[in-house]
Amino acid sequence: MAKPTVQLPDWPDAWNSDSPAPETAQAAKQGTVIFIGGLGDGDQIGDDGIVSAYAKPFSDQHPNLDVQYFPWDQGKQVQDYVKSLPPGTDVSLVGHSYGGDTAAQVTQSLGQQNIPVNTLVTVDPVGHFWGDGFMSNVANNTDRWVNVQADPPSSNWSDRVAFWGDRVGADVKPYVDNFIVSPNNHEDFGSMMDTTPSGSQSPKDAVVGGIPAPQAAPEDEALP
Amino acid sequence: MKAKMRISTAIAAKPAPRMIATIIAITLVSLTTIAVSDPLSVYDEGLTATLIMKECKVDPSEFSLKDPSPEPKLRAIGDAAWRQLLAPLDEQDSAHHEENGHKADAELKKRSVADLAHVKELVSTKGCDALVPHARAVLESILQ
Repeated sequence: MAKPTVQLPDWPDAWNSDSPAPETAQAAKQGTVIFIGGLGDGDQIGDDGIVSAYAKPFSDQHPNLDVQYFPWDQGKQVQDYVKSLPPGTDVSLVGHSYGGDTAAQVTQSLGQQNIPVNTLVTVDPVGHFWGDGFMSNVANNTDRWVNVQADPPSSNWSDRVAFWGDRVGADVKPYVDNFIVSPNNHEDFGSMMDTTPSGSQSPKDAVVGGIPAPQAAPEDEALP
Repeated sequence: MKAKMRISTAIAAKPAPRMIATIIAITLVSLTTIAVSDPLSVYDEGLTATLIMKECKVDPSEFSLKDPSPEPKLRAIGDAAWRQLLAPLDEQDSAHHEENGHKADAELKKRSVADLAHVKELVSTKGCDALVPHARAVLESILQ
């Protein structure tokens, strides 16, 4: 697909923190998965947030993957981290709510620097200005874009908070490879990641890329 | 008209019931006016009220709206607030409309972070019993 040619935008002020990017991934890892949380999510992996809490056991279950977590307002750090990886590293970005918007913006910006994102997963993304040009640029810089839209039987307050921020909804459908409608509320990130449409993969499986999680060692072989 | 009665202000002095009724009435009248002239204020008030309901774990089924599908209305208010932030940016530099759009969105998100911090402080200092009735009144006004 043609690479986007639009001018690289400045990062929003909220993204211009001076904190350094994390250490580069270990070369032995089979890929990097970067989770990006939304409004009110944790500051770091393992925190008591929707995505930050999800990322910790995900990392433990997939020691063959380099798993990172960033808050939604650290788009610049996400970009710097991806740029620090060895060329050819398989990169997946997974963003929820505001973090979905950040993941898409990072994907567009990396495209303008000819750095591809292998898999992009936007989980009920929230943000303005998802116009045709932006969504085309994002789609052009990822091999596979999976979007999940929350569609619960009855909305709760997390859905209504998302509405205030302009949930992207079905506008993105023409641009993604997989558009998954999940019968969950906006805050049910883990359930949305596990939603498996008939004849397709779940977003989680799309990220893991078919790499099986290693079996736990038998207890008698465990270290003391 | 920019005057408005913030939820924090409304409960700060722990007013008597009659005063509460007056305050709510002022809030509702103000919001009705603000809805036309100041979308950002409505956004802040409405999001704050929604976050209070969420933080206080109010069962959504206990808050039945006259409009059972409020999403379009909420999106319209959020969109108006975003456009209010976008307009001066485009006025200064119309050549970078897309960049301005993302900047305006980032600014709106920063406001929501501030609103969330504000709500968490209110919940810890005032308690949900004092906050929820006001939040309910604000939402009923906006979503009527």
